[in-house]
Amino acid sequence: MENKTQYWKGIEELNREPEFVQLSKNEFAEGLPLDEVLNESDLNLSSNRRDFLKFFGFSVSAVALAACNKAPVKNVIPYVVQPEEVVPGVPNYYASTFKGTPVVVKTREGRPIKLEGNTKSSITGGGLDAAGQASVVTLYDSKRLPLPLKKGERSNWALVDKEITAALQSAESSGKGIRIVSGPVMGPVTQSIINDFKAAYPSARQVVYQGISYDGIYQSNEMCFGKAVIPTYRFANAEVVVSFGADFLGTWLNTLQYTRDYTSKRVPTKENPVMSRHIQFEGNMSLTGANADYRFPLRPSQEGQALMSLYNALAKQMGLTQLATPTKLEVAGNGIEESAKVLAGAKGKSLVVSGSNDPYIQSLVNQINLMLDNYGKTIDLDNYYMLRGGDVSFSDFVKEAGSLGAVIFYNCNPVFDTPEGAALKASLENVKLKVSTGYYQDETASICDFVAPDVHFLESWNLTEISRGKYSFTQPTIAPVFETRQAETSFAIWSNNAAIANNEFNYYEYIRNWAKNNIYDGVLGFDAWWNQSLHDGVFDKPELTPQVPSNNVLASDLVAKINTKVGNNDLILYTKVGMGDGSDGNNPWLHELPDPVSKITWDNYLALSLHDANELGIEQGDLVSVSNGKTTLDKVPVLIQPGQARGSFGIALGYGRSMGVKDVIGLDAFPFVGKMNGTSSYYVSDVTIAKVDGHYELAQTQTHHSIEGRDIVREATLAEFAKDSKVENHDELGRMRNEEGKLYNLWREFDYKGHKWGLAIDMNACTGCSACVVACSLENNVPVVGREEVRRRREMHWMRIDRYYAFRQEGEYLTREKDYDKMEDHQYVKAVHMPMMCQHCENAPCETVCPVLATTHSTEGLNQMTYNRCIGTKYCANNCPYKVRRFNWFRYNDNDDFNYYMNNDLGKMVINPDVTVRTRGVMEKCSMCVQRIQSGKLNAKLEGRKIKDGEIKTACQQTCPAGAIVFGDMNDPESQISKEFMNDRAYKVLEEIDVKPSVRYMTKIRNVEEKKSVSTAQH
Amino acid sequence: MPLGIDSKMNNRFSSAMLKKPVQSLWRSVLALGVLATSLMPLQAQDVANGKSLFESNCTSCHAIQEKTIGPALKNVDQRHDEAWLIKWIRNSTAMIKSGDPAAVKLFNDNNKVAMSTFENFSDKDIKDILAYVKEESSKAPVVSAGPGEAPGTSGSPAPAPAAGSNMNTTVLAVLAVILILASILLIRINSFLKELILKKFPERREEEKETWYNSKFTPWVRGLNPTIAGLVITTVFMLMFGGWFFVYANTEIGVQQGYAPTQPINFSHKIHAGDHEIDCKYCHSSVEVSKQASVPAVSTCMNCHSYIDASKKYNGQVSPEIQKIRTAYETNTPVKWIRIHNLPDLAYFNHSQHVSVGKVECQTCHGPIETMDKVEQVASLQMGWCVNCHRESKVDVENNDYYEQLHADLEKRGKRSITVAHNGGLDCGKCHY
Repeated sequence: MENKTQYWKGIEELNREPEFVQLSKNEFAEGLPLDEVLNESDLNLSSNRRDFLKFFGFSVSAVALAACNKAPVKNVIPYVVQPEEVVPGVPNYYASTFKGTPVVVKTREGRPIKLEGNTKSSITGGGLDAAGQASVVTLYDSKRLPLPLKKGERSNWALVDKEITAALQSAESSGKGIRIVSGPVMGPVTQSIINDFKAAYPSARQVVYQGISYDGIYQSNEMCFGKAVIPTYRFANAEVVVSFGADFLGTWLNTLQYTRDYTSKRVPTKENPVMSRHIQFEGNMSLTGANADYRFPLRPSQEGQALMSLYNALAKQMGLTQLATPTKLEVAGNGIEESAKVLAGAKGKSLVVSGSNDPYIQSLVNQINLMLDNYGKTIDLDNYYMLRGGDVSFSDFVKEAGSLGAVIFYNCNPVFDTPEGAALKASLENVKLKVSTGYYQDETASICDFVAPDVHFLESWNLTEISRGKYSFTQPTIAPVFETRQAETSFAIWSNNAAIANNEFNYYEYIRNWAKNNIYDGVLGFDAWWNQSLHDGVFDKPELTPQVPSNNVLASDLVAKINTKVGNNDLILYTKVGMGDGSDGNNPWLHELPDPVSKITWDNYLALSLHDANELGIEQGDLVSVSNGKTTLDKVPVLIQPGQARGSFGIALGYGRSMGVKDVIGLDAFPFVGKMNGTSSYYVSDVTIAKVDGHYELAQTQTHHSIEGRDIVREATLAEFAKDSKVENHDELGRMRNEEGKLYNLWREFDYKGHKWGLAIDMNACTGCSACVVACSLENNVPVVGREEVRRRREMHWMRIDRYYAFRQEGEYLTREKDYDKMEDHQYVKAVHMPMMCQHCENAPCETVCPVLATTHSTEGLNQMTYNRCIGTKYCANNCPYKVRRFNWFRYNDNDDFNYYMNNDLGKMVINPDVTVRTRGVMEKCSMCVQRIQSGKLNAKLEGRKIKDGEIKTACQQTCPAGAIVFGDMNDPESQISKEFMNDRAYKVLEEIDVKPSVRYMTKIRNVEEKKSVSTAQH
Repeated sequence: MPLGIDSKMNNRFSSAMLKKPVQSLWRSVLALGVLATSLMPLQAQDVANGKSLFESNCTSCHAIQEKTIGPALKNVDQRHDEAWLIKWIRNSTAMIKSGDPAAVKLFNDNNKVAMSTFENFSDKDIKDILAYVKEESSKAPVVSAGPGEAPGTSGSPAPAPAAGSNMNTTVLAVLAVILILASILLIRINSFLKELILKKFPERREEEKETWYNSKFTPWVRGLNPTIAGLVITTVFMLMFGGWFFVYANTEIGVQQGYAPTQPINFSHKIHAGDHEIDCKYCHSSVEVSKQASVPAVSTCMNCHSYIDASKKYNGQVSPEIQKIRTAYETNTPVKWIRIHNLPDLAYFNHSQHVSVGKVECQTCHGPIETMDKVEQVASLQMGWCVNCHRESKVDVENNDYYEQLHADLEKRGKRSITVAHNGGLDCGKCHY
């Protein structure tokens, strides 16, 4: 049962392009940057003997002088009055909330330095995504506004408050109307403050919009069931998931909950070899599509047709009336029939979702789910996801904007993140009072008369209702870094809220009162309840029993409304994992994070299929212009993306922010967002793509750290696994791959007496969401290096997620050498995500080649890296079979060429004080979070007890929303890691070279029919 | 310049000589008193035991004659009955909690500073202390035993900082330069005079040539290959320089052994930790739980120094050093202490690991801190020094359940203990990450 599949990371690897082959020979893509460094000081390498003597003399005298230098005087500055809860050197943890995700904030000496998911949350179970992990950096962002602004000039709160209040009153008396524009308000207390505001100014109305809109789902549920809500999708109950363009693991709605629920059904065991089946139809290659068992290319303009076919196929099987469709539908090969078959077999245990924002398409999806009996089981309309709507729709607001008296933008940026941004900007010129509460001088704030900057969420009090009855508390973990003020307080002051006493508005008391009157359950005393809830960070009211709703819509009525005209070139406007709608556009970690699928950093780009690229005569590295007649985007870099549906082109939204950010990164695609059936539509049909002059190299980490076509990824089908649970872990002779054969060892065996740490990674659970990459980087003070350095293959991530593509056609896996010519296109690829970090080999090849013993093995099985000993020969990196060692080319924390957060005093606050900040010229790599191991051991010793299994968590493990990573002591037979290692799916990567890694991976199992052809129906 | 050294030394000697007789006199008087009273048949209590208990447990907060942190204890036996006092001393907090009116009043009268509990005192111990206090109460306040009076540098104006050795070096260097200049001058004069003589008596020139130097050494030197000779000489010098630099780099660069900077406040560990035996952990409170021992907050100093002002020594004025801490407290300005023990960022050190788990005494690394008026870095803090201790120290596997498995393994092999080094204490990743 050998693994015939060929995996590859990028097209250049697949094609064996000469440049790729050349680069893959070298561990480091470029030689030493000596010329560059020396040129800076007007020196150069083509020097003669005299210059050499000069350098030599200089270095000797410099060393001598440096040696004579006295050590600088360092100070210890204790508190004047030490806060009771602060013990220097010991972290404190506080529960809080990041954009609807319960988190726990780690603070050291009063500085928040790291976020973790809140394990008490019934929604996330303790996971946190990449954006949440990175958000702590924005607290110390020097681009945040330090003071309120008036007409762009620095002002003070007293003046700003006085003038805003006066202007609001005159707007009210003029009868022109006041509008509060915001994203969805998830905080019920914030809503209460806004309601107070609306009561004080009767002409005030609330406008709620989202840069990435889900209005289609609201409206469809209102249409079908009379409930304008976003339901809670319960992937944990779904045995069959069919998704039409919904990237529910990456960017669609509440991804953390979905990831947790979805992966709970995706891990088969020896005793119980079952898992859910996931079928994805999509145009872009999304994170969710990469995880699907079957993935079918489908352009968004075909989605209406595809859903109608699915409806008909299901109706046929169930003997119901089929829809009268306008044309014979022939999309996505036999994917629709296949889906209908498995869906019909899983009535009440299936789920069909769509990423479309068209209310009629969503209504059709609702009808399909109704037919499948899914309501009340996998779709819960009663315990809905809490995204509140407003009083006035955003498009109405844009129409009336010119005639309004006052507009307040509450932490939103519609000038940037809506297609009407330019029109809005123009019509707002006549409005007398425009206020923004955002904390950047962004596109919207810069057209406002006043900016009253809000505090960061880590500096504020709040209460969020994530989904119905599930509350999460926000509490300040630091006093405001700047002279900013919580927006709720601003609203209260401007509307002279009744809770103001002695000219002070106490938002904390306001929340307490609100909680007492609205959610306090009366079981404990109020103070006890409050303290307990604040401590836990979350408070859940009992869930309602989900009901089957009554349906008001006939599927046949929807047919006429749904777009069935299949366009030619569909431009898909999607969002990226991490960056989202661009509101955190100044966070360097979200740019440095490689896209989970394309592995591109620091840019957005036009993704297109190889087929289309060939037809258009475009090559990787070219620039194109994209136009739909009205909007044109020039000089867009292209990426030939395997898996991209033919005739579809993808470009990410959220890029191209021009104000309130350090640098303009990428291009703004929001102007392309159109309207379809009254809601924003995130695709445009019939765009024209034309090649323009120029060349642009995207900073892609994809093919860095090549693996030379070795057998790294193991994958099998569920049927194979059910037959033989060791499925992939045999070699050709039928021996266990894990079995110790006759091996000779160069080294003496070492007896690990105490602990022996190990890591187990389940590739079935891992979705590739990349939260671990950011978590690891922040925990371990890994620097951001920027686009130029990533291009040079010098990214510093200790942990990367390798994404391997493999493709299949006509039911066969194709291998590179023989069959590539047979490939029609790259549409049918599958992808595997494999987190890769230092494997802590027992027979580590890096250790034997280090000339200065800077990398050694510990008695607990860790491969240690001693930075102070390292002289930077890089031999270890050359000898590492896993390519996980990173070299520090620069002193990133003190170098203006790398002007990211680590290079300024404020940004340095986020640095983890327990981990060395590495300097230039040393090698570094994953330490398995040795600082956490050490502190866990110490805590056990201080308490005089053994270490509890699961007590020590690595940063990647702790943040993983899917629970794919397990860390523990392999010497403890009861530990979870020992059990994971006994799992039949467990294997060691590159075990044939017998380096004995301490990390094991679980073979990826896909729930696909064996020997069953995956359709390759042509278009 | 030498004056500086002298005055400093004089100062130290004189203060020590002045203090010592007074102290010893006081001690002998005390001893006599104790002897006398202990001989009294009616005195059932052991006053000597009371004295030693009093001095080791009570003096950090109490004095007999005057109010310090706690109230003056003079005639305490007349204010409260003995049973009450025993209860109070054992656990005053519990009494206050229970609402005993006298206890609450006492607590409130003393700025609500809770008294430490002494659960381990037996009834007899407390009675001994009370007996001692009673006896002391009857004495007139001849010599104050208050903490403010303690010997040390706090009273004298700050002596010339440790510039002495530096100045010595400077003086010697200047002298050396002068001497070198003088000898050059003398040699020049000598040769000039010789030249003059030779001019006058040219016949002497012949005699000069016949020296050993001219006949043997000069031709030998002339016969050498100048390149090789030059290289040899350079190599020798380079080797010497290299050797010196190697030693220097190993022992000097970044090594701050003996570093004793002058602190913004002339704080004496000798007075606090030595004379008054205040537990190190009272101020360095996080040493048992954190990586940092932590320098105390100003408020911690003010726990005592809101009362203790050493005004007796300054003619009723507050000691200028104590005034600094009070000013810092009042103006809410933190004190910028100078850090003495600087570990580089690349080395992780955790106090709680060593103090709580390893049971290492503070003095093992910090030296006889309780005798230092001015703290200096005693250990070199070099890696060799750390590693050496790890090689020598034993792991206490018996009294910590964390080591349960290890302990069992050791017993199986018939061993009683192992060193830290054998338990992975030399792993690089224990300190460098």
